[in-house]
Amino acid sequence: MKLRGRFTLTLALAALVPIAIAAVVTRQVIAASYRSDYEDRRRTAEAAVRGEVERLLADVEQADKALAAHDHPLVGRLLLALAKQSTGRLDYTAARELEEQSGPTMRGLSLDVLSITDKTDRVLCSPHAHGKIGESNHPEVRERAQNGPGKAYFVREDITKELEPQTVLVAEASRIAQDGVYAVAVAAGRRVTEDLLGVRTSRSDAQIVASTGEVLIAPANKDWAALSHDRIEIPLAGPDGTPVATIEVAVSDGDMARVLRNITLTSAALALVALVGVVLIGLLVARRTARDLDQLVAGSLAAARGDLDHRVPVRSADEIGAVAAAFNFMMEDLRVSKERLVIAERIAAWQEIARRLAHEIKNPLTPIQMAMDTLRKTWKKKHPSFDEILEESTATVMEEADRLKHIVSEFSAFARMPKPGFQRLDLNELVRSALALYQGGAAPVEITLFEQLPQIDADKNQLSQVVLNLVENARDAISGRDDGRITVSTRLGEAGDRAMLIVEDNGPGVPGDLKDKVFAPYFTTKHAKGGTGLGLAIVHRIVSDHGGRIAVADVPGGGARFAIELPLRNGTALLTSRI
Amino acid sequence: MKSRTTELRHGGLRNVSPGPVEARLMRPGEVRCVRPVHCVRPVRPVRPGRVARPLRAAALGLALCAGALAHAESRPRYGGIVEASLLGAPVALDPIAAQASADVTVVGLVFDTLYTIGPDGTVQPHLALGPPVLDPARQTAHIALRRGVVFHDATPMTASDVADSLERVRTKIAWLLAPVTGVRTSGDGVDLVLRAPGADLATLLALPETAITKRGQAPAAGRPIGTGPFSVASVDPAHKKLVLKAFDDHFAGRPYLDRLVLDWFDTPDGEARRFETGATQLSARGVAAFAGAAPKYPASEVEGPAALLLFVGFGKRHPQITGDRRFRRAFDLALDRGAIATITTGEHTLPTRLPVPIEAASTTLEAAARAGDASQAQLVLGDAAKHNAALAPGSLAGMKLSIIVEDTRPDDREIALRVARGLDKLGIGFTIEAVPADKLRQRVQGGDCDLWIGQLTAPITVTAAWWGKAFAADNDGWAEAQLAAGPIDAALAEQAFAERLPIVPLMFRSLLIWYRSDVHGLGFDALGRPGLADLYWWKIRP
Repeated sequence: MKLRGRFTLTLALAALVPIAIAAVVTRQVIAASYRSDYEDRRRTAEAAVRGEVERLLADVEQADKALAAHDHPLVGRLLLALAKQSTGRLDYTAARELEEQSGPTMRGLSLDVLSITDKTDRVLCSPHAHGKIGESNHPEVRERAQNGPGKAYFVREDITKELEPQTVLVAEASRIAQDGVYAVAVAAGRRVTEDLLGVRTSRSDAQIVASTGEVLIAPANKDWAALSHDRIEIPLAGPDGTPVATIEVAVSDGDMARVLRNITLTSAALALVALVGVVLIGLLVARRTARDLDQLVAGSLAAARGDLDHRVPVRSADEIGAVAAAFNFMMEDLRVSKERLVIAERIAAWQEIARRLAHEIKNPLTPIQMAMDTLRKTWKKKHPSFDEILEESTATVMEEADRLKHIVSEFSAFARMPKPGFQRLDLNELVRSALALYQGGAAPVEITLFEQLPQIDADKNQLSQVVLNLVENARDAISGRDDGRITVSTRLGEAGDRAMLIVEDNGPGVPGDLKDKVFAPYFTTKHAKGGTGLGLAIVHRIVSDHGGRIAVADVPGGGARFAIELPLRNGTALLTSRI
Repeated sequence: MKSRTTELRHGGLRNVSPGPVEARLMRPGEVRCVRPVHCVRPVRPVRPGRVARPLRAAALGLALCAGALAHAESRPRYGGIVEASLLGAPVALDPIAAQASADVTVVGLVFDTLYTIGPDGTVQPHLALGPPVLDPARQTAHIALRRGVVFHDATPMTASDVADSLERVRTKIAWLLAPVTGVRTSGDGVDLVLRAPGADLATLLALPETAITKRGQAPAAGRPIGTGPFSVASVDPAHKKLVLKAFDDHFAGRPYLDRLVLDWFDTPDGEARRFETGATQLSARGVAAFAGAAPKYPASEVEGPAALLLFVGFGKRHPQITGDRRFRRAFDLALDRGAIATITTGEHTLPTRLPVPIEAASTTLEAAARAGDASQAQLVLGDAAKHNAALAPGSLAGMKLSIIVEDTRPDDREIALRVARGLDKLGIGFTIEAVPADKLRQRVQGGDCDLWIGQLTAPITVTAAWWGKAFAADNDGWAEAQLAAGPIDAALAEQAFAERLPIVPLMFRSLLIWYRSDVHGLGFDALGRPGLADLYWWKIRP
């Protein structure tokens, strides 16, 4: 992973960890607080509902007790009317009066159910359900009054309002009202309404479910199912004690869940924002740092390429800035040192060249001096063979003069070698063209070319001279051998960024101590054969001018191998790779 | 100066106010037509239109003298307006469609029939001159018609009008003239071709459905034309008011009143309030609507025979349920008719399981049977469910049968609640809907309901009419087939009725009417209709 990534990741982790820890701790603390509050609210809600139930039952018992009193206007007059009837049944007027007064009486006591039956269990009064008036066979009112007089219970009753029938849950109490021998059973009831569920707030809700499973009063909250996982059940006992319905109270822990969820979400959002911020900051910082480092890297590469004028900008006074300043200082020092070195090398090279040139020039001067000295001596002695000697001496002088002339012209050519004129050319074609003259000769040149080799930027004439010089050098190496063999090949460098030209022979090869000298001007092992020692030096010079490299190595089994690497494009000099 | 008479009825003592109402000892089950309509009628004046113009002044003078004489002799005086209440909205002013109490009452005031039935059950000629006369072959009955009868539009009633009217009855109400195969004019009357001899034609022709209409056509809805003592002046359903005008040319003489205004109400106490404030003079609820309240005006009450049958009819919204005879039997058993019979404003009620009143040889419902038998009803329904999946408890669990009642008959709502209790005992839900009278009739005819509360009325002693109407209410042709062959056998009819249950009878009730003490002449006919045509003011009110 690059420095930029590592830096950003480290910063992100450093930001996330404390946020996560803070979120978890906060969540736990708030959850504990809410749980405690939730339990309190549950207890409060249950107590409130039970209190409402008790109050409702007490109210109904009180109302029934008041109704069943023999001096109550309704029941008292009813008992009086019954007493007046010899048949034990109400006459029309009394029945009508009872019917008229029962409704207001029922409503006046805030009741919803009022049933009065006579001793034959015939319904005398039922303002809540007119359809029952006059019906026989209703012993339940009397039985309830006898079994638990005045004690309220819950029961489901049919009531009719505006011709609409409905079965509702009522809290009811029954008593026997008696005046002498005349008695009626009086049941008074109040409908169980939502008022009983006063706990229904935004944080708690309740419903009433019949023993049959029917929901009698639905919860107000639409998502009852979500908040009712832990319900408080309060049974509503019927006349025989068995529950006819149950109040289910649910206190919402939705707030807790919601707050905790919000904390989690907020933490996550904060973490996300922090993460994004940290990543952005990290990227900026890393980018700046990496940019400075990248510039140092680029500077190093430039230095490696020999561009000692390259400098990196110094943007800060921190360590990176110090490194950049030190780099620049180093580059400046290297540049100065290199210039000095170049000057020294140039002086040394010219001294060497002058020494070698002087040596080369000195060699022909000796025969010339000796020829001229012999000629002068023989002329003084009037040697009879003076003419012959003159002829030989002048011939020697002329020969050596020609030799000097050749040396000077070669030197001049080496010294005046122009800069390459680059053009795109096919190296394979150049090799084939340059070696055409060698095909079919005594020592044929074997050519192995890499056909997919891309074109390169090169000076055609100079590169042809390189090929010819190396091949001529190889021919000299294998001269005198019947199995002499020269191989010229091309191929693409492993990185695909350079072309390679390789010339091999199976001659005696280059001794190890001479491998560093063969490219030096005027170094030759072929003085006897008229070598000037400038062939490989010219090759080295041309290759260098093309931004390439040349190396000499031994061929296994004997022979020398000259390998040239040339960049495919001008200006991309090869620096590090070596064969 | 007022005197009080005491009348003993059904073993009870009853105070009635003075007036022309007869007071006498009555027996249980006796028709309590205190003053028979059309039976006893005071002398009426000569119709002015028939008097020659030169004699009008003299006639008017005579009339005034007669009036003054009558007043001096405590005879009724002509004139005045009486406002009375009906037992519901009159829907059909067409005789053949009249079924409910209000319909039959109005039809009786606007139209005339060939015969009438007295309170003692005797048939008397009305538009007919005498009883039907059979030909020697006993295949044709000739009915001679009264002359000088005119319709409200002053056109004379002809034999053709009678023949066409009876022919319309024969085709529209098949059971009623089932013994007759055709009607034709014959001289001064009409001939009825008999399917079988022995039919009591005069009795059948006393039913209000056989009233004579002009050219035997259905009367116009807003202005029906008949030959009755009153013509229709206006019909105002929006204000629940029907105004009748005395018909001067009625063949029996014009009524005492100039106008008769009939109201109907959609609230239980609306009618009583109007009576209490003096706006109406006759009321079926009267002071009884306010228990214990003393009437503001001196008032009396008179009660007719229990000739109004309240029943449950069946619609076709859920025919697989209500059309099943076993369901009907279970429903019939589940009803507590004793409770239903408590719905009264003081009038006499008789729970019944048969559509025939006790006066028509039916039997009284035992006390135990009045309460119904819910257990037996459930057993019958359970047995029915074995044959009809629609009656299975699972199918009935979510079922709600619709009960429709007429919104101008408040008592019917109470009855519907008791009827619904019967359904409740069978585990069947219900809805009750109060609808206007015309809508109720449309929905009943279209079968757009499950149950409906209906009324039937007929002369209490005419058994055939009760059976015929009961079966016809469910479009059951049993009675028609029986009547076509001869008189209906009561035992056979009871058996057929119990098996088929075309309707479920609930109770017979009478009509008890409170009336202002200064209004006189109120009585009832054999159908339990109040004799509004004979009302008069003791002192003429402007």
